[in-house]
Amino acid sequence: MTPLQQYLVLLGLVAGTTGLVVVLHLIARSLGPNLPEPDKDIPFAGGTLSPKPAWVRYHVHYYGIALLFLAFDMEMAFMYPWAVVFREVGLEAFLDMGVFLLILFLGLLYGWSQGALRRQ
Amino acid sequence: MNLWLLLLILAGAYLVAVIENWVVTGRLRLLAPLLAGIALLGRESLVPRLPDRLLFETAPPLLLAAAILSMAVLPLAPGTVLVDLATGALFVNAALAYVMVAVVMAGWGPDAAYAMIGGWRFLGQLVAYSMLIVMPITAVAMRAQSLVTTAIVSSQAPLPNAVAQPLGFLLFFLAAMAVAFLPPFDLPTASDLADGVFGEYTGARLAILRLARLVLVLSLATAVTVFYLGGWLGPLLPPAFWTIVKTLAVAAVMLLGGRYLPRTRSDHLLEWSWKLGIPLALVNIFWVGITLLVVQR
Amino acid sequence: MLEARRGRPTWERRLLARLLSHHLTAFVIPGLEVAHACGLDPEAAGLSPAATPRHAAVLLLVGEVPPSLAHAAAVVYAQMPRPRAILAVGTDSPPPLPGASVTVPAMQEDLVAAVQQLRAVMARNAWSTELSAFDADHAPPSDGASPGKHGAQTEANSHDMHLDRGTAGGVHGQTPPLEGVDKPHHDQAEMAAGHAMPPEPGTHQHHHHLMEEHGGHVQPQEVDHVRHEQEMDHVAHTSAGEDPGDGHKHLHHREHEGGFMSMVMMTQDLPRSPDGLPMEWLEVPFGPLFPGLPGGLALTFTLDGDTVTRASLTQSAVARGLAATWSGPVSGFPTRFARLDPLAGDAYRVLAVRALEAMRATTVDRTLAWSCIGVMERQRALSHLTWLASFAWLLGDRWLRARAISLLQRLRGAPDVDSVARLRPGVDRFVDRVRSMPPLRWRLQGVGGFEGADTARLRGPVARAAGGDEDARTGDPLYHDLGFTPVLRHGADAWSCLEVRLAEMRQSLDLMVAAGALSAPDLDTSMVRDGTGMATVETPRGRSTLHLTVSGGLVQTVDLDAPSTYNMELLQTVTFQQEVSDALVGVVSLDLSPWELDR
Repeated sequence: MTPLQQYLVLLGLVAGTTGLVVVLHLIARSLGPNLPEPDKDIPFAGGTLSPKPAWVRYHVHYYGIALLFLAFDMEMAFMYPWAVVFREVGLEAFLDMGVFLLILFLGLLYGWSQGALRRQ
Repeated sequence: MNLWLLLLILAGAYLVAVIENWVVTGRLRLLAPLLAGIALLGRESLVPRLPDRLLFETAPPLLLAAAILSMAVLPLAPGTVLVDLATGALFVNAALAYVMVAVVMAGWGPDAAYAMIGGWRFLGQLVAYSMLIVMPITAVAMRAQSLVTTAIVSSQAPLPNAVAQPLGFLLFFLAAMAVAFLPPFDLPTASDLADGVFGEYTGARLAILRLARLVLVLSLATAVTVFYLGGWLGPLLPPAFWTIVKTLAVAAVMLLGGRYLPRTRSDHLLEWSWKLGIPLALVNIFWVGITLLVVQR
Repeated sequence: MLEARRGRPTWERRLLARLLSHHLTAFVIPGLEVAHACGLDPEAAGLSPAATPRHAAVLLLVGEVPPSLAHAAAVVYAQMPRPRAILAVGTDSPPPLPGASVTVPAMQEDLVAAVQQLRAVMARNAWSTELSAFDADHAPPSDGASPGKHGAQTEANSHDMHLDRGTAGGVHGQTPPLEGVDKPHHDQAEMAAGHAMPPEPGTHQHHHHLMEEHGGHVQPQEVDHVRHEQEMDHVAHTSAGEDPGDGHKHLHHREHEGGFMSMVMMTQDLPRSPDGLPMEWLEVPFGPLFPGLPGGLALTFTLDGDTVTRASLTQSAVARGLAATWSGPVSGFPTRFARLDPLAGDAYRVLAVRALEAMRATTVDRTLAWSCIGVMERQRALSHLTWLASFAWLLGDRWLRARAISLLQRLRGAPDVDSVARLRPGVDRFVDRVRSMPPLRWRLQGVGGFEGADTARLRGPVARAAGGDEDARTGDPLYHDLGFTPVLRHGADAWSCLEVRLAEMRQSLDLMVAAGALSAPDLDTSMVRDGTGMATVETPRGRSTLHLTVSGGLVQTVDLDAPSTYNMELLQTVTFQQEVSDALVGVVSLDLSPWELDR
């Protein structure tokens, strides 16, 4: 199969999944309508009626690690093709990527020393 | 053949459900998950007031699609794979990225506080596990000289990767449990957050979410088998049988592990992963690089 | 009666109803720990506990459901998807809840039979064409709840109802009319002390503006926000509904102020977190009916992301007006008094007995004293095991929870002292195993710490976990004869609290066996003289003192000092700047009993 055909199969899988979901929804819908009642659609809040919306500017505390993660993620994008040709190219490949990884690792150590790798 | 493989995936997910039922209740009940799933369709499917409708509705099918797509490139036997993609190992990781998207959608969509906390926690969990999924896969691809999953299995004919790259195996196994948010990494659906991101889903949508989670566990167990346990390789019995047995064994170990451990703290997970996990993964890559260079000579 | 789905019961629906009835999940009111304290095991009866009403099919009422809690229970019931039912065990279904489908007394065999009966009812009636909608507000407000709070809730309900009825005809599958542009936008924030309210004209203008846009649709969040500002001005507020990255934000602000608003200006009123970022804080209720926390504890956290910046307890969630019931004939007083705390009823019965005994004209009754010790220690062991089961639920540790529940059932069912003695090795192994599990220690050490707290102000295992030598049993000569020394730890965190309780559990079994009795004989109250009496016992949660006055054979005044009121003071310390799961662990390690806090 050509790559295009393969990706079309994958797209077909996604379509099939959507189809399955639609079928399940139709089955559920055929079993009867929902009875609209007051308070039924208020999200659970421990027994209180707390209809305050939750969509706020949320303060995540792991942003230091997330920034380092971005750097490493870019590195991993380079490592995939490198891994495939590694054995062919030999020592040179090892040294090239070794230097790259070492630089990133030093960056990790620096971030660690500056307190980036903990809950902010 | 493709249809048979799809049905096999669903059957595998069902078996994972049976195993999970056995781990939780201690009894082996073969029909219980199916009946529970059908019963779930019989309940009302509620929509919380003023949700982000697009995110709320899309999250369950997206989670299911991500799980099925990541499963699609993993082989059952030589030549028996839904899609034998040239970048198979990379595609597994790409599909698993949508697990995070789906969970964060499920957290934001219902406009509920507990779900939102669960959703953002899972994003932190992704920052923790993502490198530990990718780096071991890279090491495995180095040995196989290819990203094609069938080639990765074939490269393990002398020795499975679990023995040749034990550090990578351990890290990938733990990271796989974190991707599927299995206990002790079940931070987004925590019982102390009123079931977190799954908490506002009922009826058909909840059934889809639970099915998606089972398929995800299955696909991660298959990934562990294919990348580290030698896939279909094994004496005497047919290759497909070996894959199935190994996958179910890995799934059982993953599900059992969570029974005895308390849930991790989200900041502990991040700290341990980045202070210990990433350096170990880098050591693993160096180790594999050196051994491959030496063996070649 | 069962609340069914709307529809005709066709054959496939009847089949599905049969399936539905086999997989019943239950939401327990007031809490799973009360069910365990009453001797019930819902899981063994076939009802797996649910963490949220959305996943529950049955509302299980156990023990006593006071009127103020009944309203919260009605809200929870309204949030359960149909078909749903109420199962009342040992109580009846209080208004505004509808009548229970099945009512049984509080015994495990009755519960099992009730579940079978409920299954049959559900299999028959899961679909029905004659239905009525359940409205959680069609009941007079409870006595205990403050009218202001209830008024705010009623207003909120009416606006929500307005919204719902506007979209009647099926919530499912219908896009609500407020979407996209219509997300409510506020940027009014209010700090606890000192900040003025946001300018009124701005608020009205904002309301006006949005009202025009939506043609008069009242947005419940905004109205609630205003009402909450008026009602609860002592609580830190959050601003709501800003959707980062949504272009409409700028649209609103442009129309709001007639110009560009910089980030600095937009965030200048927001509270600052310790890392200096101005983010919006959420006020999230974790009670009164939150699975994992003790039922009736009306906790509210102000969350900065997932860090708790403020914790507050709303009292009177379980107010029952018990003080009035206590005065009356002396003979039934211990039983009436034991109603105080369903989680430690025997402990309070012993307290009442000892207070009355101090007023008797006869000499000290050694048999009664020994049997009081036996009852007290049994209650302590059971209470700590029940606490451990709900702590394990919070931690997500299934094995710990399963073992705690099985030990609890075995201890409760032990008929005599010899069978308790036979349990001892099993308890030993369990405690050793729990203490030697590194993951549990890593999870709990340093969490919910109260290092610098004044241990003189604390009670019970919490005080002893901080090294405070505070135990009412040290002064008792009988305990001294048994060689009792209190268990002390110095960590002052959740792990130390756990260690103290586990060690006390072991110790209690030994004391029970040494005391040689498991139940107290009835006190002969005819010899109780008029006057005042006092007694102090070490309840499972701490020292408790009772002062009584009796005249004319009737109890006149009762003055009780309960330990949870003291330990409650640690709430802020234990939760401040902790991640929300750690804060919950800290609160549960305090082992507060809401029943003791409100009477």
